[in-house]
Amino acid sequence: MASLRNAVRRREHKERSQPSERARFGLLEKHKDYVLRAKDFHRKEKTIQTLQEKALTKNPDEFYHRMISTKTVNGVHRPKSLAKQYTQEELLLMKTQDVKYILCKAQSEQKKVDRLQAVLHGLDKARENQHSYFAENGDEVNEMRGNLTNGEAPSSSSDLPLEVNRDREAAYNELAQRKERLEKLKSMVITMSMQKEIMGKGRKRKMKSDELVTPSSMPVFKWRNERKK
Amino acid sequence: MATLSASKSQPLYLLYEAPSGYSIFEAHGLDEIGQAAAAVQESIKDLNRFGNVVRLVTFKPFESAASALDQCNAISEGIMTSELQEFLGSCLPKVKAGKAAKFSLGVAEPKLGSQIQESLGVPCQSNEFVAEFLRGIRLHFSRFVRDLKEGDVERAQLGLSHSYSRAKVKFNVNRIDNMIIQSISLLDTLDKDINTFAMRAKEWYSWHFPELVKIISDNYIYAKLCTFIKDKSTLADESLEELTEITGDEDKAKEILAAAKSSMGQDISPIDLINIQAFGERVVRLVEFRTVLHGYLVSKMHGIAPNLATLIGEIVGARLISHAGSLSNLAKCPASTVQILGAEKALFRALKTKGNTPKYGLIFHSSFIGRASAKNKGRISRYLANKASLATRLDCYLETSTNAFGQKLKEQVEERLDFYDKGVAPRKNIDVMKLACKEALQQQSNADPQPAAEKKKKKKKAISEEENGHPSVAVEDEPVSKNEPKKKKKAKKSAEAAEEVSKKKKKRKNAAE
Amino acid sequence: MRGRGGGGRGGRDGGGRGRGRGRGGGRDGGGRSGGRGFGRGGGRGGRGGGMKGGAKVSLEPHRHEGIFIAKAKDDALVTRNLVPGESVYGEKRITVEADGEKVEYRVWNPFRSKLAAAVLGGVDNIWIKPGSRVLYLGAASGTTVSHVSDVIGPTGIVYAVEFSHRCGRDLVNMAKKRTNVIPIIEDARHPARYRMLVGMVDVIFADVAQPDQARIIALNAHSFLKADGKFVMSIKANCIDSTAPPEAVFAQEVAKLQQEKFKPYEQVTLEPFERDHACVVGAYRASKKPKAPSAA
Repeated sequence: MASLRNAVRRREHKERSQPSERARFGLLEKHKDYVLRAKDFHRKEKTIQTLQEKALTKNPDEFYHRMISTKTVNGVHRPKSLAKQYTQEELLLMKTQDVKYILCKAQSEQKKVDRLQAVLHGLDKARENQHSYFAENGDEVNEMRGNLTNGEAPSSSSDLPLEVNRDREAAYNELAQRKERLEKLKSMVITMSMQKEIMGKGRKRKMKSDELVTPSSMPVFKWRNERKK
Repeated sequence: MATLSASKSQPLYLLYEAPSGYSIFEAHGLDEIGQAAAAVQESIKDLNRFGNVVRLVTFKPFESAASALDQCNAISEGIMTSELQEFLGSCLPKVKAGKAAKFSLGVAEPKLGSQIQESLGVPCQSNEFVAEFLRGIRLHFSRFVRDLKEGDVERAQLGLSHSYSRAKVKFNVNRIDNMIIQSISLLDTLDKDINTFAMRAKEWYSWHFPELVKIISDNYIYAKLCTFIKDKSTLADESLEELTEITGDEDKAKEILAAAKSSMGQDISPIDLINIQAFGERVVRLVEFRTVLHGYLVSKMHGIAPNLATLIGEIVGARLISHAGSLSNLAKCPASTVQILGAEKALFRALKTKGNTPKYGLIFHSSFIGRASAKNKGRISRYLANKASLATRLDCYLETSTNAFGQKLKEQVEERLDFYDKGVAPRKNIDVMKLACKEALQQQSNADPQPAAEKKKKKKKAISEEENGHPSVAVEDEPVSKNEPKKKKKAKKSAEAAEEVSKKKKKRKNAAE
Repeated sequence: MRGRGGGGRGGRDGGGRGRGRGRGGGRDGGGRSGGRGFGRGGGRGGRGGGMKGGAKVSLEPHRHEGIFIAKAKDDALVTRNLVPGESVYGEKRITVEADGEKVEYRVWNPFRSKLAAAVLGGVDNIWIKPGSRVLYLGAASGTTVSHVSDVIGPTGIVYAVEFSHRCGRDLVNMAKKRTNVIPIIEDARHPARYRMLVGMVDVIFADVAQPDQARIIALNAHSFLKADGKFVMSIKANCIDSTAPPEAVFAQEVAKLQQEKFKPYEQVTLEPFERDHACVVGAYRASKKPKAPSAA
């Protein structure tokens, strides 16, 4: 036997946690937790100390080549922007491409809406229009009231199989969604092409709301009467 | 209500123009029905009653469809033709000169009535009373005329209306662009097929005479040679002349002779040779047909779209028309579409992936684009597309065919090319277009010299007006029968553009205020 | 379980739903025999979307004779194609197999045709039925005229009047294929000019969009519309008077018509297909005992 201690094990001590009355103080820190915290604190302290020393011993005539393209603003080092700088023409070109893309999508959406509308006539939907009859005199009115075929025949859609009805409902939903999407795309095209116009050449000024006949939240610009070449 | 306009002593005749002929009816039961239009209305409803009121006097069918069309055109303008005059003269009682007529004639149109009255002296009326009778006649016409079977009237109406309407829209058989579309597709198919057949013929004949392929590359000459040189062993120095004739080159002919003597191709039986020869002949015929078709297409293009053909060439023009579907579809396309017609795949790919859109489509194959430097290809392509679009619209909507505009537009493109190359300033557009208008007028006056002087005056007036900046008088008000050339479309367009610019200026002024 | 084609309810269990009774009473219009054909919808033609073959389409007749309703993934008003295999303006076509024979129908787009919009708006009677003679003023390129030609069938005739030459060409081309269309390229304001080409008609349909359209219809009716004939007029409020409210414009037009011996029966606005449009239906020189305006 290597050691009696291996044969007869003592009861292992368990780690004690935060008592429930003191639960509001969070985790009960043990030595291992303290060590982590202390190490972290000292690491940071050392870093700060090193940086302080470096700042004290800074060479005022130091030069690095990166200094040509970057700046220090209020003591904060501002590196060059990672974003690629585009010229005005390039930006205009990209804006045109964006507008054309959205316009392309809007046109294809319009075609789809037209195609769907050509075959979905809303036969089972409630009528939105007005239907009036003409009568010569009061007697005719009474006669007509009696003769009135009250609307159409009862809808026969309920007689159709479930899948067919479901498909039709889905088609109507699709039409509604596409219409909505089309409206959004169209308004996008308008705003984007407006932005492009504002970016372009031509002397313009922004009109104040009191000059406008119908004041709107969107800014209104007025261009000079110059002939476009 | 209707006025008393007939009595027993003064019978009322009625002229009814049917699609198949002229007819005269007589309203004889007048006293019975009373003299009111309302009474006539009542009587119309029943055929028997109406039959008692009105009877057919004569019905004269038209001689031919052409004469029916002439009568219809005359009636639509309210003119009395000589046939109508003869007809009336023969059927109605004679009117003695100086004496009042004892009868009256009811017609549908007062203008026609006054003409009849002038020439024949027959008093005409066209009031409500007559209109009611004519309604009745129209309703029951097929029952009155015994010769007409059921449905004859409808057929006559159909035929006459088609010829009338076609004449109205100036349906010209010679200016149908469908021929262009069919011939250009056939030309493409033929090219492919000829190539395939020629390759097959080359392979086949090379079994016997392999060296010939290397000497002659042209399909047509090869096919001709293969039918001429059936068996290469029959080639002798005497055939040098004919060989030279076929190949067009004496050196090649000598090479062929030399190669034939030392050829490593196998011998073949006469039966096989017959087949090869027959096939070779087919290829020759096809190539010849292709040449004929090309000539036909060129002439058709000059007939249908002369300006476009002169500007960008017949084949490219035909391809554009074929791609767009018809000449009028091409005319409706904006110039930017004409520029990239044919490059749709590249266009939509570029739009969807936000890349660069293509600069040219089918237009690329015209000679101008090849002559421009790489930097200017895009600019020339846009300029050419603009001019091509103008040319197409002129061809589609001008009533007479002239290529004066096409030539001038071509000159403009050449000048533009020069400008990009050397910097030579081109002429101003308005000057060139004025020249073009003048030339077109001259061509027109050479074509029909007679009313040219009067037309020229009007056009010169319009051109000078346009020079002054006033929009020209709309030419469309003239009656259709005159068949005036609508040259003014070009000048009118620039005039309209000038008008639009001035309107825009006014709008801006108003917006500023 | 779904039966193929033809005769009514063959192949479907109809018993449980009592559709036999519902059929006769609910659907108006005396004993229409064309049952509900459960056909295969295939061969959508023209430039319409392609429907895969094998999908089932239910086709039933509309209250108006000559017009049908197709229900499947679509929900469309259709007419029977007089020239099977061809689309006039790129509309979708539906092929239904009934009694072993294939019948083709064309979809009638209410956004492009005022007559279809009126039918969908619930007008009681359009008076255009198989065998009628119709005078169509303002035919344009012939899109609605082709549908009228389908409805009236080979026994009817439609006289299509259009003044514009561009549209006239399309109209003449369309009339080449359909022999019951008579194209007349002439101004509708002067009916005397084309009196040689027109017979007496049962119905006048007018879609001319002119401020003096009441007068145009009156002139044509005096020459060509039989007594107790019917008229169907489409009114665009904007074109008559763009400042007045639409209801006032419609009332004004109806009043103008009443002065010219027209008796209006009913008026239907064309929402949601068109804005500020209405369709008026009535009779000309109505007999003293007016016919009830219910569907015939």
